[in-house]
Amino acid sequence: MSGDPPIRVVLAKLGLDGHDRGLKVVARILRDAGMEVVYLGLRQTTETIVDAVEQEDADVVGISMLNAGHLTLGPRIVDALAEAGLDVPVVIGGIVPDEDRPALADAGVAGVLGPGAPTDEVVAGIRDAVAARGR
Amino acid sequence: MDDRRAGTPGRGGVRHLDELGEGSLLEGVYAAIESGWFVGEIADAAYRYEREVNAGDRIVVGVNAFTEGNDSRQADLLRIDQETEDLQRRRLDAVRRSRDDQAVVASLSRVAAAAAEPTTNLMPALLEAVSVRATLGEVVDVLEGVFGTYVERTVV
Repeated sequence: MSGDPPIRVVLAKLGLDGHDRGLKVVARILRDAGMEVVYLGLRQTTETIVDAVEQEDADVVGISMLNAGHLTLGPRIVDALAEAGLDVPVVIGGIVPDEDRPALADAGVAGVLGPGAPTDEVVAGIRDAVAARGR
Repeated sequence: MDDRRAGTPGRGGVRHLDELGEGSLLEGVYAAIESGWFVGEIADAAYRYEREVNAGDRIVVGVNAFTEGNDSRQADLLRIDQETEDLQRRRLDAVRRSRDDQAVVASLSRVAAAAAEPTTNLMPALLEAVSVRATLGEVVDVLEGVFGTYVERTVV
């Protein structure tokens, strides 16, 4: 909280998945924790998210997924960010079975936040993902 | 339980909608949908709920109280593999090859015409389209062309 600029986080729902209640709660949690939230909302694609990260100079991306597409779409967005030359961590929130977490970590996903994650866990999850990139 | 929690806007909300509609509640509702007021209220209520659960001010059995006996056993999960997607794509291709494309095109243009006319019942045109095996995607594309699509107003 010192003189550091606030963390800029892009939040989005990826693909065809209208369950945005959780992501909106997360947006408010991060905003109240002093972060700058760029809320893209529903039905985003890998391309729109990468564009937003670039334009908004974001430090971290939060993707909400409750459509079981995380193993396909999670790695895809990590790769797309890397291809665009953006060293920005991706945190996935939503319904992710524990057994899928290692595969996501291997694919470069920086963190996974499950349903009902308490406020401080959400904030720490985002802060840790950013800190791990040495910002 | 107050009326806000019962899922209605409450007296303050109704007054707000009434003002927004300059005396017409219905017009106020339209304006509030357009401005994102409803989704904003819902999101604020969700955040309030989460904070109450987090703080223990709202007890949810099995979540923040009486959690003994929760175990971490993973249920058997249904996983949709690539083979399932490939199978469905083949079925879709087979439908597309076997149908009368001209009938499909004609039926879809009748869907578009019916959709463009607010007082016309869409259902007969929809039934005709699917009976000649227009796909769900094709029908939705036509309707989207007439009605447009939901554009989310960001309300964070």
